[in-house]
Amino acid sequence: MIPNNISKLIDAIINKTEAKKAIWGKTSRNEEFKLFLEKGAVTTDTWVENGIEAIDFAIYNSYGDKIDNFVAYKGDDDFDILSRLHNTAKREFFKVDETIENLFKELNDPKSVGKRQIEDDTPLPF
Amino acid sequence: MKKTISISIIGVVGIILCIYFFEDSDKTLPNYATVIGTICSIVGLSIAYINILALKEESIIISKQIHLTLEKVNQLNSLSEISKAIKVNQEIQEFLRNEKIELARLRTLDLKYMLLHFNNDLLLNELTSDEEYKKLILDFGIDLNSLNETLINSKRKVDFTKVVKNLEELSTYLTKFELKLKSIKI
Repeated sequence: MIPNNISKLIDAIINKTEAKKAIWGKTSRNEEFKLFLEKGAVTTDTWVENGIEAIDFAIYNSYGDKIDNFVAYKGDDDFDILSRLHNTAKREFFKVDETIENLFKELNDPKSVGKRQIEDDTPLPF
Repeated sequence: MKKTISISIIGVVGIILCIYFFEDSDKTLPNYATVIGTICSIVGLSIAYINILALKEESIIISKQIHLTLEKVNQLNSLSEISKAIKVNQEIQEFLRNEKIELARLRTLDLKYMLLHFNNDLLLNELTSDEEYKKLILDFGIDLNSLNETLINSKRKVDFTKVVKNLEELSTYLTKFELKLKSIKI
């Protein structure tokens, strides 16, 4: 069970990220994202263990020591909040909202979109 | 030495003058003894005071020299530690490239100890308080933790190429430490 102060911390991180004021990075794990802060860092990762989805939230101090870690498996009470954090971090890292917004802009523009790709082995027409 | 001789000469001259200007009625053995004794005491105290001042100056110079020598020793020690850290970093990279995770983890713990030592090195204060270095340390901590967990839970995969890239960046920064220390003239 995640303590109240950690739960508030996660909410604050989600709010900051949704307000586009937190820049997430990627760690050496495929699905793990990191957020550097003045006095440390936080990470969130997701993986599948025995067919069950798991998510964690870790806090590191400025020396790179992991000082706290919370893991939740699908069905646990804490899974939802950790899942929300992970999704928010992932969306920020991949700039999902900005990309969708740009796609809309491009599609609403009167000029044509897309490019014809010519295969390298297409014979020349002469 | 020169000051001691000068004071002694002044003392002797003082004694001679005092005795020379004595009234005939004062020219007695106890009076001579009193004058000679007083002037000798003053000369002795002056010489002692001058020697104390000279010793004080010498001790300040010696303590400065000791401080400089200690700084030089620390600088050399730090340089050797940095070279060692760069070497350990390369070893970890090699172990990771060959997927020898347990060996890499052990050496990573050694490297972490060295990095903590650099944080307390006053000569490196400017570089260790840099934001870039702080981020590298955090990345290193996160990677070290990932390696630990990979050994316990093989379901959680780590991209070793990314860890090696982070280590290379750290190694480049450590080289900056080395250059900085070499550039300090003590």
